Amino acid sequence: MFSKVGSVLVIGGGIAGIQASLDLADSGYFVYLIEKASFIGGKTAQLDKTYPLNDCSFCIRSDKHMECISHTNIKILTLSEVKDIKGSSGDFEATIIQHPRYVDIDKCTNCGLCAERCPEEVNDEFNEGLGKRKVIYLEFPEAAPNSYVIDRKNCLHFTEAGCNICKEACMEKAIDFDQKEQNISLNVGSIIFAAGFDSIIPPYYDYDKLPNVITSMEFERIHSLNGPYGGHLVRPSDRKEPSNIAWLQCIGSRDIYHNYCSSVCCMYAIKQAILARRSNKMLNATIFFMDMRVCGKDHERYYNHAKNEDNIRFVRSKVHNVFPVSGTDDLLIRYADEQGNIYEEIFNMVVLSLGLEPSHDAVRLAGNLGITLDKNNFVETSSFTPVNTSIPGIYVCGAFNAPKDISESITEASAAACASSLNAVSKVALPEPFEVTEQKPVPAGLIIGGGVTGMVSGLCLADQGYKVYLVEKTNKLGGHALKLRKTFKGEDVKSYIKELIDKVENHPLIDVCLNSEVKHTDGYAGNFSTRIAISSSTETKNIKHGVTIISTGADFLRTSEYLYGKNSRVLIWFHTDKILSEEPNTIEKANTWVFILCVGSREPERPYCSKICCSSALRNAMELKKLNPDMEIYVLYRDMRTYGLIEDLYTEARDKGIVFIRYKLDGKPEVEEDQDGKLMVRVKDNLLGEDLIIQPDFVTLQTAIVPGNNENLAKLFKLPVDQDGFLKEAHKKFKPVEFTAKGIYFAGLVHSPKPIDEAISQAQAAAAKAVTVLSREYISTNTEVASIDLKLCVACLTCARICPAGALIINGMGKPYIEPQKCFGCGICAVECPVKAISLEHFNNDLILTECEAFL
Amino acid sequence: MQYPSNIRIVKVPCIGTIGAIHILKALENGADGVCLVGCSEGKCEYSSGNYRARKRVQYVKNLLGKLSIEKERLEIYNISAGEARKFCEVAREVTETVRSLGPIPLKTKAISNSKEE
Repeated sequence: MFSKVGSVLVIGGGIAGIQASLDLADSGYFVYLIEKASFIGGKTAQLDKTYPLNDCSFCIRSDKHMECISHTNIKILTLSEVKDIKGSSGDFEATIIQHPRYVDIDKCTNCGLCAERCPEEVNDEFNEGLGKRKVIYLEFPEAAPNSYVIDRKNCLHFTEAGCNICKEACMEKAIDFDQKEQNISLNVGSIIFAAGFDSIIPPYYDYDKLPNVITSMEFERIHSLNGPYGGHLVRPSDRKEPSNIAWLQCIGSRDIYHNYCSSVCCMYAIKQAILARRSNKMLNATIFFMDMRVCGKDHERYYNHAKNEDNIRFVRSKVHNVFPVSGTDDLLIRYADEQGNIYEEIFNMVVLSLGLEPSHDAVRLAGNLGITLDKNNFVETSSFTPVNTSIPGIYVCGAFNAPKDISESITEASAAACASSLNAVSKVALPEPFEVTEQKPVPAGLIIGGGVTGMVSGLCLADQGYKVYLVEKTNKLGGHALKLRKTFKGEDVKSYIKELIDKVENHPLIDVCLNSEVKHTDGYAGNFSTRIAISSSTETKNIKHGVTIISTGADFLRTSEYLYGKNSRVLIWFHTDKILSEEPNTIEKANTWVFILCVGSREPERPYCSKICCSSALRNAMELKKLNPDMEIYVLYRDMRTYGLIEDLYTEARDKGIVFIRYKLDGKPEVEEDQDGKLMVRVKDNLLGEDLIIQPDFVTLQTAIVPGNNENLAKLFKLPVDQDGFLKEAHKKFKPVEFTAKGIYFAGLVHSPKPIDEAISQAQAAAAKAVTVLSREYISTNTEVASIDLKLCVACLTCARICPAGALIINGMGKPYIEPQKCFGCGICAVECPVKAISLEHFNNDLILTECEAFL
Repeated sequence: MQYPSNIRIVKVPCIGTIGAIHILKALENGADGVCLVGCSEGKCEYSSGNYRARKRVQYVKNLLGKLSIEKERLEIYNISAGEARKFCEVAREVTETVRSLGPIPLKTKAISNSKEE
């Protein structure tokens, strides 16, 4: 073994970098977080609300910022850039340049006097140039680290020499013009690239000439409470409230320069339209789009709501130009509908939904290091190792990997933390809370579900030295992924699974329990006890474990539509996979093949997108075409959801002559058979306005992914289930693999439908979270927990009724008892208790009262 | 961005932990007004703490009415952690309201080292 040194270097202090740092730090690794700006938070800090909750997510986000700033295992270097990296996995030597801030973070109290006095004003980049800021400035009031910074480029002290106004104004003597650029050399074991994305300055639609053509990020700032207009939705040219706004989609995505979909624009445009309509009920919001790609968890529902309840108009058209209307600041849009009819409409403001480009600085650095990038400059990764770059020991997460939203970035960040921790071994002491129990966490994990997700999670835990119990209901490992042939990138799934099963079965720390089911579970984070029954025998097995990961997967819809089950030539997606690998003769003889998408998905009874059908259909269609180039292939779709880098596949498929026909929910295709069993598909072509009749040899149905038996599981583990029947996470955006209960995590298709690469990164993320519990020396309880004085208690049970954590249980004596591991210390029970028998440590009644008195 | 210096902040984990007794004691001890500031509605970390606080504020306002104390001395606001500006505005607004009402008539106790303006 070569010697492994050091800690982990995280490049980029956006939401992904922050999450990766936190997970590593919580697992006991030391982290250097490098951020080029003066604050952490990245692009997420500029956002106002997040979809699909329309949450002012600042509360949770600022928590993460503060945690990161104050964590003893994280060293944040702001205003820093990575100059060079040398060495190899386990022993990297990174050279960092830290630019001076000219303000002492420890002394600055944020009084703002310096900025008040500063004579020089420049455009505020944080507000996308919509407002002005001083040269000594705080990006936004809650910026972390919370300290002013001097913009050297514009500061009069440096440009014209001699201005010392701010320095004289500062009462704390925090300003120091003598600070110098510093070269810092770090020895680290592994590196995580979380460099994020850059917005492009659009060269389209006269963006630079027309003030009311704005970018989506400018809209975020305009609508933001801490933005340039104080959250008042007005247009830049005359500060008047617009009554008519258009959003133009796919700006800088899905064009000849960017042959990929930016994945997030559809959702954020809908969000912005909803928010705009909320601030002005009379506002007309129109979104011009090509395909509505809302494939994430609950995204389809959000879209439906916007369409049906928020009265947002969706127009399927690519707008070619925006013209100024003379005499006003309004804008004219000329567009064609699908039938080719030309319309003209006037809008007060036009928002360009800008796509994401990989961060330019990071592309340069990655290029210097020799990391393989794809043709769009995103980091090339395999579907099976979604966070590994081409260089061992260097990992990637967030939008630098592929365009993705906050929750996916957070998942990947945790996954990268998990992967990178295997290279860095210099563990440091974890800060222990003031009060710990004597109990050590059981160093074992229980994983329910032996599909790809479960196996990946299991291996992650076992490779870090924890015992793993892998419980699988059926008689073999692998799950539904065994039916798959290739990923959208064309990688062979079968050999990957074979290898994975091999590793799991031969790992000394993994105990595989086939034909088994969980019967009962009890306990809390660090100390669970679960009973497992083996179906072939009556015996049960009791397992002690510190964490639980649920990865029971999902199922596919057994549809009765389109003659499925009646005609043997109507197939479900995985039958096509099977024919492709086993029956080349059938393919050679087939002349026509039809794929029908959205079978059972995006319908009133199942209002969600199954996410994997478009890419799997296209992949199979391409394979068929390769084996039999003369075959006519038709893909009947509703919206082509080849999000992210899958767009490439769509372009390729069209180049190869695969025919795409869009149908609507109220005009579904019809599949009929004649007496000889020959199939006939009738579909209305929207472009021609006429019915098309296709006589295919085979019809493949891309049926929906449906939740498994989650109700039962939820009851057993006391977990919430969402409206669609999938398990519900603690927070859609910021805690994608966690539940409110500690110590239980989930990953894979039990969360929502997703392709294999996303399931694997979730599996790694869940393992990373699990390690934060298992790596503790002692099981920690919250420092602030409520306790009951049973002498005073009259057992009215008010507390048990209102406890939001479910921590209050009634024991055998008829008296309440608080489970300290579950209590999160909100103190609601203490105040509701009529006899004041409950008190919250550090916040008890007397303390608050004394504080009230002492202040006055 | 500043808020008036005559405001005293008592930190609690959730405004759901503020009982009627705390509000009344603060007024009795010489505060001229009390303002509860918690998370936005529907965004409570503890599911319903801020709704409980709102109900409790209504209850205490009724009590104040019975004691012939102006109800405006007690207010509750929902301000998220990202709205520092709004907090300052609210702080100024509350101070102005309380100042216009004058000292609280409850001041029976002689407060020797009163810091109020």
